[in-house]
Amino acid sequence: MIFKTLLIGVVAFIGYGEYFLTGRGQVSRPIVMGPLTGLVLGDLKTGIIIGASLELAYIGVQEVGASVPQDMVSSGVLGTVFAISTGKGISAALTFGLPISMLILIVQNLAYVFICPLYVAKCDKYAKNGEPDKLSRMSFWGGTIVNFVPSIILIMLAYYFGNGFSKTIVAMIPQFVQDGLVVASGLLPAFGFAMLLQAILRKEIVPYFIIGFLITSYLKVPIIGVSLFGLAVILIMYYQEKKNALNIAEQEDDDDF
Amino acid sequence: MTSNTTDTNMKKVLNQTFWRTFTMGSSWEYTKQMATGYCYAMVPALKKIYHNNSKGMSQAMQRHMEFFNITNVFAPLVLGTSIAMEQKNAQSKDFDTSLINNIKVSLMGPLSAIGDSLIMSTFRIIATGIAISFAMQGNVLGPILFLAIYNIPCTILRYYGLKLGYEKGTDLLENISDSNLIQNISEKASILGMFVIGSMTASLVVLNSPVKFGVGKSAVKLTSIFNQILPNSLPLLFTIFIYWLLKKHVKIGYILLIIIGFSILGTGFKFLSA
Repeated sequence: MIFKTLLIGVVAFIGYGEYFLTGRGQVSRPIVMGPLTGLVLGDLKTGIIIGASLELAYIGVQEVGASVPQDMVSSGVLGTVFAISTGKGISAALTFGLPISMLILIVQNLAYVFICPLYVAKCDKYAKNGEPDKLSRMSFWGGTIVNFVPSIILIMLAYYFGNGFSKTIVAMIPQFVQDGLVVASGLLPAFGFAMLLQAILRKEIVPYFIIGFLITSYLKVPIIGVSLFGLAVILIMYYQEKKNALNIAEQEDDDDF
Repeated sequence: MTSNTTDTNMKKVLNQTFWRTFTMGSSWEYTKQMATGYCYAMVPALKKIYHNNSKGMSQAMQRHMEFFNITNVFAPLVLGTSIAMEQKNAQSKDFDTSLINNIKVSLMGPLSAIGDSLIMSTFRIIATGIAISFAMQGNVLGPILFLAIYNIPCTILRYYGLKLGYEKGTDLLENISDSNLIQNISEKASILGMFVIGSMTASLVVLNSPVKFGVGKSAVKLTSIFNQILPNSLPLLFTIFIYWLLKKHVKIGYILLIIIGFSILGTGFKFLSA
């Protein structure tokens, strides 16, 4: 148990590496965290599937500028842990993963607000004194330790204490609620897609949504096919616009004569 | 600004900078956001440029401790321009150093706009869309494809961004800050995104009802009536409903509760099924 807890810590470390190791390489997404957590718990396949379902529910969750809407690492890791340990799949992932990851987000924000300014002040001092090596160390280690180590420890604690506990609670939940949570897992992607739509939707581009929807609904074309089709369409638009721009330029030239 | 050719010494420095762009996000925080990380990524170049000029070093470091934020993938491009300009500053006495930060600030908005819409949203969604069908079956190719599709182009963009920023300096910037170009890229990205979201709404949202009309053999399922009008119309209607809630500024937490509550009640009263 202690060994596995350490490994869960390693997975969380990789996940937060999103920020301090991979330059936003998307390793924190549930589609990556699920499989790694599954691997630690000895059930890779379930980990992948749970990761995929959680990914769809959270597909619209994305940091835009400075806002951090949800802690992806703890949602993915703990969700998968509870899904596998209770054997209840994504319903357990949501019931137990969500509250803990919300708690972790609060801890992270506290660190951001109260502790981060301390290492920034240090870095300002090093900059003033012209000490680049000290700044390098403080920026990397200060940031990593303050921002991410508390969350990693919380995830390990939640895993260590929550695991046995969650099973007993799940046993107490009535069957129709558990079935309802399975139904919810089919509806949560709608939440993800609606959030995406909210971010990019304008009246003029609604037709493209309809086309994508109809192609898959009627012709059963998979997502890859639709995205390649979409790519072809925007290339056509691009060349058409280029041609139009050329024509306009030529017309203006003609006016000169 | 004239173009720089990269000599071997600077090549090494640029390589170090390239690696630092992966770790520069560690010190992000609310007040100065990416400033500390930016200064951290500038350190190899500054050490080279101001190696026996402590006053210049201190001034340059303070310059790069100013507020800054950008989509991480585009940070190398901006870093390249800063490095080129710091080099110019060290060589000539009358270089206007305010230009260095002005360039950074002017790039911040447009590049983040492309970065957030094109890379972080559209591109991530396409990577997810392709990988998800494998992942849903428990195939390990899913997560591997997801990471590869997202990261290979992004890493190339980082590497050549840094090189381009350094070699072309400010020439390039005039092209990039051209707002028409930015808008065009964002527009096309959002169109591609709409195709993919439409397709995913049809294939990945699941909503079924066991409710039947009529009795015995002639009974018709509610779901199939809807599907005859338009396949997957129930998932579509549900997605539009959630979108409408978001438009009404209903809090995200409440929407999640509504979805889960609706599912549990619906299953309890037997008008929804998995």
